[in-house]
Amino acid sequence: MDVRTPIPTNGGDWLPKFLDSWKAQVAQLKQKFGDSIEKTCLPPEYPTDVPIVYVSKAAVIDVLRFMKNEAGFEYDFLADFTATDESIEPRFELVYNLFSTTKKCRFRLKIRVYEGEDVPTAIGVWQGADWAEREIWDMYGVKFTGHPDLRRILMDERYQGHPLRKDFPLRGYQVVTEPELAQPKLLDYDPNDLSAAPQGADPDDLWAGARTIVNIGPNHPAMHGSFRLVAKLNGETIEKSYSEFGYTHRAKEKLGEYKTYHQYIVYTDRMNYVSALANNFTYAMAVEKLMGIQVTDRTTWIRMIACEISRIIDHLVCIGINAVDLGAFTYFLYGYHQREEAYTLIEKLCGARLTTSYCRIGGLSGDAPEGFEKELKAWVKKTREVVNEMDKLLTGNQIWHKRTRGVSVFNREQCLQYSFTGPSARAAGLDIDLRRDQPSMFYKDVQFDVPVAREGDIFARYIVRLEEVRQSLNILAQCADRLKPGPIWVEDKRVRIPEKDQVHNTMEGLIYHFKFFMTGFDVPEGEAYSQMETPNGELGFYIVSKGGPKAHRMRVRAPSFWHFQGLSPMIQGEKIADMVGALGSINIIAGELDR
Amino acid sequence: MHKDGSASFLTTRLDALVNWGRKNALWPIPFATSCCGIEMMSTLASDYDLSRFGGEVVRFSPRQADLIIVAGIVNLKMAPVLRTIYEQVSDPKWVISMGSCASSGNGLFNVYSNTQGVDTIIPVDVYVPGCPPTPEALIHAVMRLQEKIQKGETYSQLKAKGLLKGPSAPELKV
Repeated sequence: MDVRTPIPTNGGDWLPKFLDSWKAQVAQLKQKFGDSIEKTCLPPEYPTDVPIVYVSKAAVIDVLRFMKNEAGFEYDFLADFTATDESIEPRFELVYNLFSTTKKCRFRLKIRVYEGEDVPTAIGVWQGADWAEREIWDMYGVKFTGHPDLRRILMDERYQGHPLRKDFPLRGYQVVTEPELAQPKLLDYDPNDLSAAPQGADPDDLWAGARTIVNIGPNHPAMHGSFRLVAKLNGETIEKSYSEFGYTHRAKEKLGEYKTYHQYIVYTDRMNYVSALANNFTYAMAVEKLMGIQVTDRTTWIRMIACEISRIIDHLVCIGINAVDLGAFTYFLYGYHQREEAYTLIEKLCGARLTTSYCRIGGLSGDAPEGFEKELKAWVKKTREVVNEMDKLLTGNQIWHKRTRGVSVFNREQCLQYSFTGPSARAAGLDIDLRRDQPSMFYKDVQFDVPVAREGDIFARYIVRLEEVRQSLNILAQCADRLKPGPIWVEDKRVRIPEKDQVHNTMEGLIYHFKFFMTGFDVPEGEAYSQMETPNGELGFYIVSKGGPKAHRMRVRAPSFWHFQGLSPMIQGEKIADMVGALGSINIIAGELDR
Repeated sequence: MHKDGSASFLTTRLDALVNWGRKNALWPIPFATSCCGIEMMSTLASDYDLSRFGGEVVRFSPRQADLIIVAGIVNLKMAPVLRTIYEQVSDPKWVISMGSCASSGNGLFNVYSNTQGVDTIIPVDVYVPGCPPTPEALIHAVMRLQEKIQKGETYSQLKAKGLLKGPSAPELKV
């Protein structure tokens, strides 16, 4: 492709599908809210993937509520809530990325905020906005009025400054020497005050009003990674709890503004490190969407294969560890062995086991080796047997049933409130699977079912994951059949990394190689939210580009962040021992949670 | 000792005997924070099976362990926690720093939230390079540590003999 050919819009195939309804919605919003709608930007005139509507700060909650409930809009799902720093006043833009679970359509609301201004909280509309707002306060210093618990979330409570502001240095270290302690006050509990009247007639109640505070984590075997849960117990029942994280925070969003698009690939591996490949490709797709690149068929099929392998790995690890936590150790070894076999396949693709960095913008780091399809099919066959064996081993087990059925229920309404996605949401009957609903790659062309359960308990999450492994195996078998030889690189001068023999033997190749890796390639101005159904749920990259080789804002919408927020309401009223099962079943990955 | 096992004494130094016992009964406490933790789990699981080298009794209480495997990033919020856990482990104790993040802060993550290596917080005996290291690399590190323990060259042993001077652990700095 010639660099001078006009760049396609980054709306992709959404444009023809949704453009009319977007136009109607924007017109209706203007009519209803009048002057509160400050500006509207519609694709394809404006370089964005979905319409952006700037709303005045005072009216934003009304607009959100209207868009959530009004027929014809039905944006009932807060996909993401974040901010950007524009450096000039009005300094901050707060971005609500909305999704409609009925129409499978997306929309973006923005408000402009001056430095020092407060914003009304959206907790009344979505409970899940709670932590997102805390993160914006932590990272940008924007306060929310009406927020019940506006504390720092990723950084230590004693930290000074707001790291994602543009004027904050990348290396602004601040050392604390004492660990942060659990705060019983956050649980409405004063350890010295034992005069409180007894609540309820729990037989475990030892002493009227006496409660135990249990601190679990940050380094605890039940916590998969490093985060903390502090629970107020009445006997063994959890009355109230709060969770804390940020112990693995590595500033990946800040780094996105300092690294070129090519350099950032390695950081995506280290988000959800159990399924790094899926993260790689979601990121690559986001940048490709901004640049209007369509990758080749072979690349797409290989990417799909890699995504499905990583989905299987992720699910096997999740259900395996979940079973270990509840006492079924052998079960975990079955899955783990098959996972090692999968890593052998991945090593054949890219040479690495865990942190793969397999994607390149517009291609792959290397082609699949000869005979890969055959090995893949053999692995699929073996894994199918293993999964059936695992199924027999645990699914009918009485102890497993007793520990998981009806425990830690999170229903459909709560899933919508807390923006749950992926298997955890499908286990509660929230039927979204972006592979089917907003298909990217070639998911349209393969046959698979989306397992949905109704109960929303640990068992439902387990069974949905187990079934998804089987469906992924089906997809893999179809992909292996359809993988045909062909080029893996898109012939686009902007992103094509020169071949090694050109680099070594021609002057132009060497210069081009040097320029590519030292300065990176330019991405046109615009913004896009690119999402994919990763094993854990909806992973989204919201990239704002102002031109140039580095992003203006690199936002990662990590599913674990929203799932972990749901843990406290999920375990309220449960026994403390069931917390372990609940946490394992929603599969929190610390690298993705903290970014 | 005779081949039939009848006569039965060996001559050795007490030190060597004690160190032999120590090196073959490592009780690790995993301090797994991120990606390296997954590879550490692989090492402990059946395919790589660390128990072949005498180090599989994973204890999650610092009081019951003598080897800390720091697997993954330790950021500034986590640093005091690691220091506390190190101090809770009873002597003699050993530390393996697994992966680039724990060993040096990883060139990738030189940012506001991170320590640049756990040796700024606690003394480290064996470093494992890699991002993340393969399970083989971790097993190699455990074997290197066993050699060091046998020779009495670890930080903890040297300190007990008075061959080290200074505070029990480095001050927290960046």
